[in-house]
Amino acid sequence: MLDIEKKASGSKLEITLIGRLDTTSSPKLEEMIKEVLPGIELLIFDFKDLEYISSAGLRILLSAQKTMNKQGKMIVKNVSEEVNEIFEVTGFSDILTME
Amino acid sequence: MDKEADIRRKRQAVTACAIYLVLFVFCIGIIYARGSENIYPIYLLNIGVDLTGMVVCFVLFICCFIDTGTIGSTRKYYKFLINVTFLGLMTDLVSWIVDSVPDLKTLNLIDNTLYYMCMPLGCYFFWRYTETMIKADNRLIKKIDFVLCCGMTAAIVFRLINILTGMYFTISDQGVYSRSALYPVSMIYMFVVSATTIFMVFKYHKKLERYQIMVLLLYVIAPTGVGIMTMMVYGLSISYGVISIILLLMYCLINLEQSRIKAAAERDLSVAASIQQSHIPNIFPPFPGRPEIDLYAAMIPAREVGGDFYDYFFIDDDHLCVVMADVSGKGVPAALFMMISKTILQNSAKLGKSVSEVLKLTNDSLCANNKAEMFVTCWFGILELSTGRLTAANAGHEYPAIMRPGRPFEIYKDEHGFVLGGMEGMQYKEYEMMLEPGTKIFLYTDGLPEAVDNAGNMFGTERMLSALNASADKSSEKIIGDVRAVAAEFVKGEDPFDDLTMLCLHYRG
Repeated sequence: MLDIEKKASGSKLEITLIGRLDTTSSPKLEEMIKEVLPGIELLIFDFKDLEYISSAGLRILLSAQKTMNKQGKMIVKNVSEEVNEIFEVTGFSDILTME
Repeated sequence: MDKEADIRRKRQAVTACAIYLVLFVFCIGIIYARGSENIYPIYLLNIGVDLTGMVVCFVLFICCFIDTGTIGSTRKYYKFLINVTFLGLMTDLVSWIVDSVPDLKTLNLIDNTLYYMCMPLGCYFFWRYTETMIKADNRLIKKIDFVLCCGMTAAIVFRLINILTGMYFTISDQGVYSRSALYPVSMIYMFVVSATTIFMVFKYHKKLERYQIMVLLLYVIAPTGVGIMTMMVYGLSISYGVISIILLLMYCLINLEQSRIKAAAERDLSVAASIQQSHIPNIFPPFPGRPEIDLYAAMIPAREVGGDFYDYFFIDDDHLCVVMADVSGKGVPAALFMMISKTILQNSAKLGKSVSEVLKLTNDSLCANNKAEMFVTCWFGILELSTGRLTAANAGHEYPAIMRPGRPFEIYKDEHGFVLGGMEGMQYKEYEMMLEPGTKIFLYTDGLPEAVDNAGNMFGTERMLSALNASADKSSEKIIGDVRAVAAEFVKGEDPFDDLTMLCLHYRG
């Protein structure tokens, strides 16, 4: 299960993910991001309550990162140890900006 | 998630069953209380038809819960239709029983009002049901939606007004029901919806299957026909009985057609699965003429087709390439991307370039037309059999487990690059290691460490390593068989959530 919270102010958008981002929950996030991303210049993902991310979830991050490369900046913050290990193994730590 | 939906569905089914049964008991109770004396034979016929129809609706409603083939909004409105028909049948039944019983004239009035309401409700849901079949989203449809919704509301309001004015029907002090002069007016909404639906079915007939057109027209024509025929004949009321039979017919036709489509899709999928399986090397031992190596591998997709793959092939007499890869996602999209990745990787490798160059080439090719934004994690190595020199690179894949002679299997934390197909122009670092004779390399996809038991615990690399070490001195085939058995024992009856792929290479030197 995944809960998504979003906070937008002007061209800044912060998305907090709570739970597991996997094959079953990722379409929900993908749809939402597709909808809200136009016009956003700073996208922040807060992962403090994200327990797990699967390859389907990584795909969404990658796609968001590519979009944000064109229109602004994307930051991933509060990454837990488990999720960070997934980022390390898949090489995502090389392309994501983490805080 | 599927499980939660399942439990919710079961709970709904049980609740629905309970409600239906209470209503049945109620009907049979009042039939029993009233007895069959002083009742016209034609009423008994009506009551019989109504009871039969109610049973049909009940069975259909339960079928809708059990059968997951007819999903989506079509099923939603179909269920509404069943319920309205059931209510129509029940109120019809009650109205015949309470007719001419002065003590029950209030019940008679309520019951008949409900009965009259079923018609606009049923008509409206039927239109919505048709709409989900047409699947057109335009202004005309939205306008019709609005008009018919207003019409339904008006029809319901008029039926409530009827309680005071008796414009459609009245219940006398003796409890006798009789139609009023304006009774035909109550049918206007039905004719409007029927005409609109027929018109729309013809307008969009190209978007509908033949069986759908048949079913929709039948649903309109049959009860309308019966309605017209019985409009002037007081005493015979079988419209809802006819509707329940047509609902049954609809269910059969739609299900039949859907299972035919499903069967075709399943056949396609099984052919796809066999194409995929045969595309992966699966004859063991793979190189009987090469005593230097003992190699075994297995791929177990979670669905018919999967996104994992392994590969091994010689690029010249002395150099063996080994690949372990995992495409993001599952099912058919992953399988298609897997076939492309495997082909590109093998072709790049056969150019005789270095490991890092092969991965760079593969990455750039995969990125070139990657509209779906899929990617693949990959461990790729080239082993020089004469010397035991292994050159490898890891593009976002799981760490390999390596067993050196005299030591247990250990996770080898190699340097990781980014996944393949994710971003153009990525560089991949390769590393080298000398394999002593007797070294074993175990490669796998995340389906193994991330296999989950029914309590939600992951199998994990620790359990994987201990399973490997328990069988470390056996053949590659045995090792993989044993690890698979341990993982299966761990997850018990749980469905595999991810594809599971393993490869074990024993370098004998």
